[in-house]
Amino acid sequence: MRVDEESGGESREVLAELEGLTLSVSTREGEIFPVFGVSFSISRGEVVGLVGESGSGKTLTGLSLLRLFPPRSTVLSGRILFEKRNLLELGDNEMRTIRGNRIAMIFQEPQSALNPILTVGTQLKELFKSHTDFPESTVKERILSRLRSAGLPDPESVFRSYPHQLSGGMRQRVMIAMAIALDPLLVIADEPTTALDPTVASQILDLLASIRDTRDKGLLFISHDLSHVRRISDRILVMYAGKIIESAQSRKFFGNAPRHPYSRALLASRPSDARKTRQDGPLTAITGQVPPLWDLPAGCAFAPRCPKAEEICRRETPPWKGSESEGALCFFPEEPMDQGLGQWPGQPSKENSMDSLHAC
Amino acid sequence: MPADSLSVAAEKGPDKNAVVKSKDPTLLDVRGLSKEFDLPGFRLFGPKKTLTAVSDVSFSIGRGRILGLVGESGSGKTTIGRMIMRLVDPTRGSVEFDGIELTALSGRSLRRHRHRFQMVFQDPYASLNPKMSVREIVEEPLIIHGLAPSLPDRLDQVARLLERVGLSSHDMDRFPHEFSGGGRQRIGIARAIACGPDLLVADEPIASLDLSIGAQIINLFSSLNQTERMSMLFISHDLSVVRYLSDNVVVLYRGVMVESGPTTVVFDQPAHPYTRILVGSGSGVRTIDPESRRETGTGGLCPFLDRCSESLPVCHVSLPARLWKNDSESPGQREPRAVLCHLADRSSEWSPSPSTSQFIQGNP
Repeated sequence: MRVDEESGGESREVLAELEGLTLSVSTREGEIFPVFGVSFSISRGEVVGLVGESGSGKTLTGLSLLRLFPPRSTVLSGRILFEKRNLLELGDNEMRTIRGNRIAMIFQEPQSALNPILTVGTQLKELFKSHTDFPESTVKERILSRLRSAGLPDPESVFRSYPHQLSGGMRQRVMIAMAIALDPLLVIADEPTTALDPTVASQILDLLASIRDTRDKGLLFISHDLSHVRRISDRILVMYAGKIIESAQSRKFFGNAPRHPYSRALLASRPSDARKTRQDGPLTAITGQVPPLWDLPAGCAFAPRCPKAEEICRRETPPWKGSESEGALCFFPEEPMDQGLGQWPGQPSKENSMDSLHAC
Repeated sequence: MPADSLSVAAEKGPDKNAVVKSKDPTLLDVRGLSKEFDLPGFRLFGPKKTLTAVSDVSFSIGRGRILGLVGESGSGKTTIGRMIMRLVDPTRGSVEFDGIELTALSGRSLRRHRHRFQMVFQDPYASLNPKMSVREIVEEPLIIHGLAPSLPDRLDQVARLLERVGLSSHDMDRFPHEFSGGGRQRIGIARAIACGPDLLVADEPIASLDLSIGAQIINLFSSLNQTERMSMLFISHDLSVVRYLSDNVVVLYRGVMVESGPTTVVFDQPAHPYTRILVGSGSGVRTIDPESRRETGTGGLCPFLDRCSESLPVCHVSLPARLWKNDSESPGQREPRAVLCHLADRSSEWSPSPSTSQFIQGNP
């Protein structure tokens, strides 16, 4: 097929992969599975968007790529592969050389992820000291160049500042500078744009997208903002109640409408997609709310809220239909179609030709 | 809309939204509103350092209309909402609510009018008292304003309000922590509409809610507007929501109104470079931190100058004057279309005086 001609004829090398990862956490309410049978891969030069509501397990999925798990949790099954090595089998020391060095994380709240009593410079220097043996004299120069490439216009003054002296956007840039400081292969960005204003968020997205340009790196972009995910990712994964319920090429997902009823409802509930005003009638909201993980319904977790649910959905766990990279966890996935969604503002025009390509 | 049968008589035009309850179609009229906060750093005889959070903002909200207020954080949108609620005292300017000058009121006289304008707060986790049950939260305004003196009356009202916002009367004895974010925001809305306000100030009411819940709450606001004809000031940085919900929009940048007008017109044909960037049709913005120049002020020039990629030589010399476009598209209750930018000087479509109001923008 000619589907992936955009992403290059050669199949890209897989950088990191989760294989059927299931995480169990014991809580007061009993044993829960915030990550259940999650499988996906990130290739070099690829940006993968991970979407879901709060409590869907997207952050824990991201953290597990760093082999960071919440307290009182166990990995019940699965493998975490990074450059063909299973991270679960590595020793703690080996893992420490990978974290920050090969795989880096950009946390959601730079406010709480930065140390408030150390200057930005000190915190970045510490990173170099513990992971590299660059001579002290060259470290500062490197840090300044990282801060500059993270889009901070005056790195010298940021270097000397304490986190509280910086604004939200600048702190987020410092986090990004920290994450890319040691040139990691895989960057995990957990809601990096959530707390930011639209214009600042847009700059941060451009900055993150530039990671892809290096061709050998990968980015996992975790967010609940569909418009941001759309802008940056090549592929999109949708999580609901601990499971990946849809995986799709971003272009197709946003262009042809997704296959899982939940993904479809999410897109429909965004006013920007419909470009409606209130005079056109109410938004198609999803009724009810996400079930708590300790009280999941039998069968499909989305069935109680699903407009298409049938008897079997409430009884049995739905199967994965489609390939690993393009499919949905649903008994009755929708067929991809070429209608229903209006053109988004800022949508790349090449999508139009792609849409018609996939329509058949 | 049967509820409006009383007032329909006054109506003559085909626009069914232009139903007028009392003589004046304008419910809220804000003129020249400014707020300066004193900054720390006290020197006995030295000049006082101030931060101008809001500078000379004017707009109005018609009855049954929704005005969207957009801008980035630190642009003063929350301060404007709080000044209208009289939670913050304005430094200058007037807030006229249904003919009453709110800035002149205080204490008891202010409280007498408070039930007519209410607020929904951004964070439903922080704005509800965790020690109060849902019933206590929702009935408190009824007690304070003496709107339902007898207990059975009050319980009846609370049950009705909870059902109105999509909760059930069984939720009365539960506590806020038992609800999800969307449920809590519904409680906050029930409290705000408890005394039947004419104006609802909603400060980023869906920013902290999940994707699928946000749409439910937007629909609730829309239905309150349509059935109860509640006017709203809807503060948000989410443009798609503002586009869906509001009739008119005011775009703020660093406390200055850079553009205003009917929502669809402003978003489809943005005239200010900042608005163009917001709606995604502008050329790139220069990297500069939005807060970096807050304390130094704008130096009498355009507040957007240091980030603007379309600036003209004149922008570095003088502050642009506000220009209006008196097109036939914005008659009656629509906010007149206005922009504060030198780029508009060059076009003959824009004129230096509004036809509907007589105020002139910009400090001498």
